[in-house]
Amino acid sequence: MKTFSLALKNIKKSMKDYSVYFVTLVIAVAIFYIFNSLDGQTAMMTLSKSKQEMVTIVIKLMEYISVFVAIVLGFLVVYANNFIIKRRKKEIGIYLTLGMSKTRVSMIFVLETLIVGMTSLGIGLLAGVGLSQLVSIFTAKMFEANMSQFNFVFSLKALISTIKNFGLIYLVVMIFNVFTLQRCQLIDLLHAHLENEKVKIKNSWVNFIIFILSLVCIGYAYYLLYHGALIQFDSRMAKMLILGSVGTFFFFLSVAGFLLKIVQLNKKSYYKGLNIFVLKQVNNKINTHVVSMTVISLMLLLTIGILSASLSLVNAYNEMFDQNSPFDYSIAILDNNAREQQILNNKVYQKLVKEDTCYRHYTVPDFCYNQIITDKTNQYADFNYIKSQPVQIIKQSDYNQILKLQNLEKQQVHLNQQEYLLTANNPSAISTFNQFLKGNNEVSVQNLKLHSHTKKVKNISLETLGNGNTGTLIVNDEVINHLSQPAMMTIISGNLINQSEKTYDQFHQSIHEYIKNNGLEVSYLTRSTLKESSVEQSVLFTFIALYLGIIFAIASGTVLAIEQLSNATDNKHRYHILNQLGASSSMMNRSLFYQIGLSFMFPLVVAIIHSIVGLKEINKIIEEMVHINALDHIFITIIFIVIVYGGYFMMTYLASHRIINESQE
Amino acid sequence: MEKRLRIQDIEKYYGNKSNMTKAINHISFDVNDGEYVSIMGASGSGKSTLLNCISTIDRVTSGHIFLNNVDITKLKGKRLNQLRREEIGFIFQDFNLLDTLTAFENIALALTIQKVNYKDIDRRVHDIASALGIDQVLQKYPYELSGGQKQRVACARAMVTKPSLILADEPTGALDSRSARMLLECLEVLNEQLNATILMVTHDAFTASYSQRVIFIKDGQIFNEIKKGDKTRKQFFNEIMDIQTLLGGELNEDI
Repeated sequence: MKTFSLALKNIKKSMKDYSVYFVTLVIAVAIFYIFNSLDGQTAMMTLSKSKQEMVTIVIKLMEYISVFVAIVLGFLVVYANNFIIKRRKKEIGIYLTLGMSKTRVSMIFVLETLIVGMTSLGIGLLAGVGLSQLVSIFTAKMFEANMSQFNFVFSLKALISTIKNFGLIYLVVMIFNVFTLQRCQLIDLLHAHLENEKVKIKNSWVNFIIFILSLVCIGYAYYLLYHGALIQFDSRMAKMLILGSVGTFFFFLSVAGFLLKIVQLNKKSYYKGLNIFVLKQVNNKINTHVVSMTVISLMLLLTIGILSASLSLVNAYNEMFDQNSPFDYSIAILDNNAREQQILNNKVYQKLVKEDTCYRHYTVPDFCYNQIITDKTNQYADFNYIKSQPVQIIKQSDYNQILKLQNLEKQQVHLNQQEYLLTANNPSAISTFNQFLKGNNEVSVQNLKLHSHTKKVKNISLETLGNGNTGTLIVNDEVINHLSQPAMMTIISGNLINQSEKTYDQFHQSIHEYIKNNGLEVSYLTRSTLKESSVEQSVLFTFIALYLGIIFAIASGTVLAIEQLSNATDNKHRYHILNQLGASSSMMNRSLFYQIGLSFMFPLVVAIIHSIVGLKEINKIIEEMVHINALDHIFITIIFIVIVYGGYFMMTYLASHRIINESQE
Repeated sequence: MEKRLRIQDIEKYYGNKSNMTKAINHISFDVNDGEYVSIMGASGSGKSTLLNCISTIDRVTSGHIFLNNVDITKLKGKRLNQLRREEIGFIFQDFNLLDTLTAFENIALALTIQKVNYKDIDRRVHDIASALGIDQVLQKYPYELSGGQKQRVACARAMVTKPSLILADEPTGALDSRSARMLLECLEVLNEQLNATILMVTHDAFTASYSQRVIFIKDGQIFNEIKKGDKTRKQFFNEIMDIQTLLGGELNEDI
């Protein structure tokens, strides 16, 4: 009983100083529950069968990610706990000198962990269940399901999984604590507070060289990044990651000293108020916590990177869906026996379709894409495969019919027999074709020499076939007749009588049956199928982004906050001296604000620079599929970071402020 | 001679009505400009309380303290900070140097807090450092300095702002005898060459023998007061020891 009340008292005491730790535990539990409770959230929604499949995939993925998240959180909790234990060494020492046995002290710490764990689990789960009610509205919107009425959302599976995972984490913490305690020497415990934080590098030349070295490392990592290391899963990527991390480590090792030297050159600002103190404090902080600064910075980089890239991908998929579905459906018949009439005459088909067009794609042997693809392309566009493929050709009359159906009659073309029109809507295809068209754009098809009608690729999507238009040549009908080649495939594109789910279901079914009965080599895609896959991708990436984003953001915030707070007692002494020297309280509050603010800013600024560079490159890859700007989302991400990370900063500042002002009567 | 510090009939009570401790019980004395005064007494005699009241860290229950003819017991907030910043220099037993700052920066900080023009700072720090013989260690951190050096840095920090009064709380308490002697010689330099007014609290007769006047305090009251005058330090030291014996003797009578 006495052990229990001692543990409880200890918690109360340290809770005041380490409320940030507790808040993190609660947030972590809540987030973990919410992202695992999608089954409960979607259980009440009326979803089509295909959407239900989607939900299952998302839930499965969240489960996998949760394993990773649990590991990250495990490390975080163990680290934070270890840090707090370190600061309490004197307390432990006193217990031992008073004659308490190590087992008894271990018991106190086990009990403490148990109580903190149970409380945070309880509160976190309550918060998680509460918040998941709100999140389910968001989820419903993501899946485009209608929530006609409010339902209480609860997932037993998520509850059990959360308890299991966090139970395990706390168990590890307990074992860790007991282990640390058993290894402790009394003399070290009592003198733990006397350890001085020494500046690692005093020689400013050494410091300067390390600083330059860090810039070289980071610069070379950027160089590798800009030369395609991102999509090559080989030694170059590893080299980039290692160099980037090591460079960042060296950077934090030397940047504070370097900046300090620069500020010191400007005596006017250095000798102003408490500036000397603030700068040396921050310098000391960064110098003694280089590893965690690096880890924090990389975690922030992950947060920004994952959030921005995922949100961009969501946009990219939506955009691609819009661009690649000009018709409600497209059917490709891959034989040249002209059996399309069987589909067109089908009764169900006729009933469902409002308008349609049927045309053929032609190819000419030896007339391949390598004729129109220039080699001056960027590294992410891989044209090797397509270069050896024959160029798809469509008759001008068919093309004009397609335009008519897309309500683009004004853009219809009239080519003469020596001309062609090149169309595409895939960004990387457009850029390479444009380079070709700009120059001598002659192509030779059999014995014909054709020239482009325009100097630029016509940006248009011709069919609802998923990949978009990667290059289709339009020629005068007479050219096709002259070539006298058999059609390569037949396309039927058209629009349905309405966009209802029922119509699409009937349409899918009729085509499916038709294929089964007739054994035709047919592939087809409808706007509804494309839409669903685009929604699925959006949901997946949004959830991944938010889940990992929040976890990494709170992890970095927590590590920083706890490091700052564990130094608050040292700071208390320092601020007491400042007070005796006559510094006003406003002066000291400002100094504390800058001191903590700078410690938070450093890793963030580095992470932002890294992520801007990285996202620019990721943007290039996405741009091969669709035109969007990943950097647009950096602002949403920054708002997110400001809220989460800024929240941790404020908590840290307020707690430090309280600790420091306690001393002054 | 002008009175730098005038203490008029101050009292300091701790506790409540039922259980009251009179830490200071009607004390009055003056300190002249440029004088070097020690306050001696056993622990619990009220000497530290007295110093805290003068330094405005603590407040008196009644009575007045005049520093340069300003009643500092009446000051509040900003004015109080200003007084602490500009009029008083502190030297503590445990040095109270900031561990993250070099010796130079520790001294300079006292000036920057006072918003002294940045152009003057280098010169003023170097002046005081050479007066105290610590120019060689200015770029070192406190953990690289010996106790005596630390204490001299603390002296320099207290003195660099040219305060009206330097308060020293057991300045030799944490030093070995050699370092203590060096520090006391420093204080002498401050007093004689820079004309600093010093009020020092100590329980050590050797430390006190460096000052010009010693005030003995017992149970919150002034017990005795002796002046060095033309005596040698040895003679003065013996005289202090005699009174201390007397103090101790009376203490023993209570048993």
